Amino acid sequence: MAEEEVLIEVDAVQAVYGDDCIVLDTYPPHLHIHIKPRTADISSQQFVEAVLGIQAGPQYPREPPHIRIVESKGLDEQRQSRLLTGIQLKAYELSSCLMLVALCEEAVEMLSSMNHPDGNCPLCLNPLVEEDAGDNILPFMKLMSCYHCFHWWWNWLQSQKEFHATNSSSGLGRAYGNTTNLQAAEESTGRCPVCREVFHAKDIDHVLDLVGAHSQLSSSDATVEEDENLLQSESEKSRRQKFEAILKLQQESSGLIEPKRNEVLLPGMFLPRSIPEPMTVPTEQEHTDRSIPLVTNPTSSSNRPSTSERRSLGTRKHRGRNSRKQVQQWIKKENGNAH
Amino acid sequence: MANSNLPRRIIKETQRLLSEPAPGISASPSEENMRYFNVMILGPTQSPYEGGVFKLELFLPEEYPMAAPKLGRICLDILKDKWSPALQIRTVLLSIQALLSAPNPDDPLSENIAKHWKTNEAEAVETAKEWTLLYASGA
Repeated sequence: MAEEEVLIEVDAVQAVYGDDCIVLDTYPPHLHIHIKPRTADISSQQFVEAVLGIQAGPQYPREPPHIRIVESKGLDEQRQSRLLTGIQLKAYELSSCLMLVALCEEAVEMLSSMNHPDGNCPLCLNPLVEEDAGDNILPFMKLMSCYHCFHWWWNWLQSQKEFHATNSSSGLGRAYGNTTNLQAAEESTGRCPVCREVFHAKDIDHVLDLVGAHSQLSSSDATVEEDENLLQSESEKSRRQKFEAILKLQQESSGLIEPKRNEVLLPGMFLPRSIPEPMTVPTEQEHTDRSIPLVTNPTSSSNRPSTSERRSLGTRKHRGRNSRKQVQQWIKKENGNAH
Repeated sequence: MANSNLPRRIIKETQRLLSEPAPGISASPSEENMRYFNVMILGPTQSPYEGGVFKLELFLPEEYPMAAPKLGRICLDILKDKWSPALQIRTVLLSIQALLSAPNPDDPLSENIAKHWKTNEAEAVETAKEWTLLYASGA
């Protein structure tokens, strides 16, 4: 008799949720229900979803069913646990009533109130949804398959497109809102920067019309002052000192693989006499890739022509001198650079 | 000057790197060029590089974050074809730290050392420990 009622209830759940309901067991009922927030079926407005597992025991409905979140999209842990506790609470409230449909409806209700993307945009690192942004809110896009959301989508589509166009060397800043690019973007597929899942043109259909309207977003709104403060902070100063100290120590034990010093023989430089024999140590050393611009090179001075500096960086002569046993060094005479 | 047009994203990353540094990793921008970072990675515990301090130079190219940071010759897929703009300086440095814990002799910088590592790992690890102590010690 009780079993019959429960079976009728399972039928009702199936009738309400159709394909979104998977019945694993009819009695005691064990269901997976795909829950979406109410967005009038506009899927581009849907940022979260969940599959709810409801498993009742033979004592149901006297004992509430076990509820868990089987999987979810777009929900951070906090909202996941809020959703779960909310439904469990409802289950206790309705204890000894048939509650399956009511629980699902509660879940839909709660999801509708949580239907917003969470956290920061993984590309520009600004919060995706700012509480007090008002009308100033930046548009963002949602990838339809994985629910990952981004600001800055136009830059990014552009770079995806360029990537597929066999990496043309052009910069990203060029030709925003150009219609041919737009068409190319429409046809192409790409990968989500977060989960690398392939997405297709239809995934981004819903934002393509925004592209023209907000073409210049987020290009170069730089604020440097806060940065200067950061760099001058006490903790930064002490960090830099620590860094220098360790470097000096490692340099003394010849632990650093350093760029060639751009040594040029200048009038007035001499080799100290006290060293007995110039040890020839033709140690082959791993050289590091010097594609990185050497911004902080303490030895580069302004009184040398820059061309010779560059040339001396490239040469491989005098290699032995930079090896582990650094025994001698050119020394500048005090007044060598005076004129 | 290179600092005058720094994208907000780089500023945000820098702030977070400085205020919440990842354990064993320190990255601080150069005063002259905020796209240039002095990086120190501590050798991971339980690895042959434990006790060592490893210096790196990291440079953010103009296209960053659409292009990967430049880091010299480190064989890591995310620095090449697997780069994604959702990765950050922090994630790159964490990957390098992880590489110290689990070196990949199939994609080496030095063929000789890779061969040594593959034929006699115990001995290669000993050498790595010795050299770490000798050349990379931070104290």
